[in-house]
Amino acid sequence: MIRWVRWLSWSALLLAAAACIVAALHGWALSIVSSAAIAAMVGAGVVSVWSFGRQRREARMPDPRPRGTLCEVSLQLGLHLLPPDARDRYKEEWDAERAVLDSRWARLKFTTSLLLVAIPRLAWTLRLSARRREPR
Amino acid sequence: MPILRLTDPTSRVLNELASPPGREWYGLELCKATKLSSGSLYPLLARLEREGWVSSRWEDPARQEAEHRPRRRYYSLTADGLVGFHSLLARRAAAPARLGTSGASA
Repeated sequence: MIRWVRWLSWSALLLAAAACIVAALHGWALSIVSSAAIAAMVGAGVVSVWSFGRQRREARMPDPRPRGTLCEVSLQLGLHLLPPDARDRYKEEWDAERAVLDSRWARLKFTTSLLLVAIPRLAWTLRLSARRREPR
Repeated sequence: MPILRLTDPTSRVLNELASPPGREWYGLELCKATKLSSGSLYPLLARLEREGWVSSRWEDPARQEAEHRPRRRYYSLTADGLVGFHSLLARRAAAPARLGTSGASA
């Protein structure tokens, strides 16, 4: 849709410029052609502003991942207890789970349980299994 | 492979994963189905994954992009996991009978 609007507005601008040149060459300065060209330029401008505004609105659409909240920050800190190679995996996995929780209370409960129980136990399990894998 | 203890949370998670065995679950879905907290579930899944009873994979990017959210991690029971779970269930079912027999003979 946006691509079509942009294409139309550029076409209108080009047509308007061409009409201005034709009008100047043939001396029809204040004729129907030049007034149509001005109208086309104004129209193209309006369409461009509209499509630009729409793009900006789309760019500002909220990211489903909650960012900068207390839960997010504390989870980020807590993840440092996990081995470095597991941090990104669990961060992404838990972000996906938290993104579908609809209420703030549910997200808080989920995150608290992760921080107080899951992360310490996971840190123990993952570090222990990494130590077992190491050659003696 | 080390033998896992079939605790109640382990049994609940394996039960859900085994019904049916090929089905893939994401963490929150398993939390709701097993009524376990996220704090208990993820270490348990990590332990089962370490033992090779459970495998996990990232979801297809197309679906994640369509729903505008981060990628989910899907868990499923492996063939080893299914065999192991059934053998643990059989052992658990046999245990009281053995106890009863030994008690009677003593």
